[in-house]
Amino acid sequence: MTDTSKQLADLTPPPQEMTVLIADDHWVVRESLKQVTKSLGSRYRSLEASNFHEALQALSDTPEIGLVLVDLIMPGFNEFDGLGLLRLKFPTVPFVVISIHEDPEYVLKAISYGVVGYIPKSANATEIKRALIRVISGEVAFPREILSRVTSGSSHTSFGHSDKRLTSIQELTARERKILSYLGGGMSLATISDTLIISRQTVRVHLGNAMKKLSLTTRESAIRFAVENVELLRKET
Amino acid sequence: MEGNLGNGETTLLDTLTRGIEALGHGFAVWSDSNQLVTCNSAFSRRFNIENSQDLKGLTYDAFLAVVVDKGDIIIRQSKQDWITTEKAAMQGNLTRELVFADSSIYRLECFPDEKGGFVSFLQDVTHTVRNEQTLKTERDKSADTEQVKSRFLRAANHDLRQPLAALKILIYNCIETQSEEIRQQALHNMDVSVSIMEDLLGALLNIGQLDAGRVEARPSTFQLWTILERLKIQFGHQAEEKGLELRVRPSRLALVSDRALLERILSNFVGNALRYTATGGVLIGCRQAGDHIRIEVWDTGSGIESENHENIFKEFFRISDAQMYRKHSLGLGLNIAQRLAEVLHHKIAVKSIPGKGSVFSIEVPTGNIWHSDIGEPEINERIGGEFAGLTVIVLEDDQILRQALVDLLDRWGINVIIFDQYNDIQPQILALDNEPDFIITDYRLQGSIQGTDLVIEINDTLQAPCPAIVVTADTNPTLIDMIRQQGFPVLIKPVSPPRLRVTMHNLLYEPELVPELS
Repeated sequence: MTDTSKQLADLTPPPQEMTVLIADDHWVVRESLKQVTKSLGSRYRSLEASNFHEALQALSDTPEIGLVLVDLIMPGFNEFDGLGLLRLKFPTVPFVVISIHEDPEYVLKAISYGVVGYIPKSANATEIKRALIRVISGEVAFPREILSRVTSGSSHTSFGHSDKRLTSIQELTARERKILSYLGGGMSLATISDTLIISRQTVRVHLGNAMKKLSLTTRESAIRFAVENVELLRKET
Repeated sequence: MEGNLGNGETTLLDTLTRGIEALGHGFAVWSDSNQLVTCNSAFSRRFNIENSQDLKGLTYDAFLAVVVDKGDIIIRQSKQDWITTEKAAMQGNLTRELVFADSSIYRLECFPDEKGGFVSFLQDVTHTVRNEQTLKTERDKSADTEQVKSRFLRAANHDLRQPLAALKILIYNCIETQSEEIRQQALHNMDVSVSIMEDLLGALLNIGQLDAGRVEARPSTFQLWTILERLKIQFGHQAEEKGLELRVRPSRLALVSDRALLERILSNFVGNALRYTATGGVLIGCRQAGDHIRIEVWDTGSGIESENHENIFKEFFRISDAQMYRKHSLGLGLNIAQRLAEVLHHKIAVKSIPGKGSVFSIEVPTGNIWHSDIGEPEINERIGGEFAGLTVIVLEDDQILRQALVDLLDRWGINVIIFDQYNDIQPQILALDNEPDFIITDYRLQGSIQGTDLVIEINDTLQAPCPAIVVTADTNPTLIDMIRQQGFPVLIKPVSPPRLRVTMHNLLYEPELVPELS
């Protein structure tokens, strides 16, 4: 047994059914990723797409696809445009980027697109398998050796968004501004949900998100903010 | 036409003189006794003679003496020799190039006339000549590059073909053989062949990037042992297989460099050391020298003759004796190491005694240990993850599913809150230390309570309402649609961890991507 196969056998993926879509325009890459997926066990099925069109088609045809490995560079799209479109159209599907780029900027940019993993194409089978198992288990898999090269001047040292603290009204989404402006105009949450024809939960979630962005901790403070800034909120809408 | 030219000689002369003036190039007519009859101002002015009349009547010798005395012409011999050369050239009707002090270049041509006199024609050819010179330099340079490139490709082609040919045979053997042992051996050899090709392609890629100037240093402060540790893992096995001892002297020193590039250089050193050492071992150590640390890789290998010490850093250089040990090295490793060291502004050096061994070393600036990262920055989601520190309510009655979910959320650094009964939920919520950021609820809870109703009740109590995900084992599309209509994303049990992660990420950080919220 070779070293690689020995190491591969040592890693065990969680026992769950999963369909993995492999989207890369190069058959060699697809083939090797297929082999790694196969090594995860019989519960892991793989599908292939050789361009963005096929990837979009596969995702619409097969809603049970639970993970997508996607090359940043594929015919039909500019690097991150394709990823952005996939995220927009299939927001609940976890994406892992596979890429020939090994610069921290690419990894950070991919992270900002909400992907759960980034696998450099130079990775060997063991590293790919380890990354896939991490991702399937719910963790993120970003190449440490690349991220560790981020120079200290950059603020992207944490890969999360937990300290995303936006403070100005301009940074609220259109929905959040509208809901706050109605609130400032004296509407109740129930009336707002009727007016916008969205559920109360939706109104609440937008309000909650807006409060976080504005660092408002209580409902009263949110209402007061909305009343005080109602003109500005309406203008921005 | 007749009117202009037919009015006698004066008019014709005027017309010719004006024409010659307008020519822009220098023009002079000499008599059969070699005396200057006339010249235009472009001619006299180029030789720094204000009035063209001043040149009239001068013999060619005298003219040459006047202009060389002006000092504007750059000559590479004595004045007298120059005059002799130029005169001979004129007599032989040879074209001369004169270089002036302002670095302009003029071509001086002689055209004999029928009566023994001649005409001089002086033309500015600075641009033409300069362009030709630049072109030639460029051409030479690109010919050099081409030569290097084709040598490079020949070498690469040759060295890639060997493992490729081996692979073909091994694959054939694999298909043919009945013996499991032979198959395993063949697979092992295929693995080796592929890794050889990988190394080669990697080296070619590195060279390409270095050539294109795409490699830049990203220095940080880190502790040396983090690299030494990795080298030990990377090469330990290889050394063992060859029966060599690989020793790494531990160090707690911190240094300032680009971790990845420095590691690549040291990998080259250690890889080479192992390659060219048949017995004994390899030692990696370091010593402090002023404000620098010198990292040294010692081997007990074949050593390098001192006349080759410089050559080994050149592209494609291989010492023929050593070639026996390994056939597939392109001789690029040390060249890459040196060029990377240049990018990093680190100094690399070699010391060697033939037959005894070699020491390759690199000098790296010392770093302040207090600024260094502590070891490898293991991505710990509990601390640095996107969900770390959040508070999440989990409403799920199935003990096993709940425990699995709680374990997962705990790994993400989430503070999980669970309830055993849902009557009177509001006071329980108000009693919490932290307001929740998120709710994950089963659709059907004990006592025929619907998870969605419970979320609404909780959100009524909270100061800042929070988003929620509904999980259900019920795949009835009508039911799922109904729940989504209420603004809840739905996940089907068993919940896939990455899908839960993405759904939570969207709800918390990219709500515009959540269709249920629009």
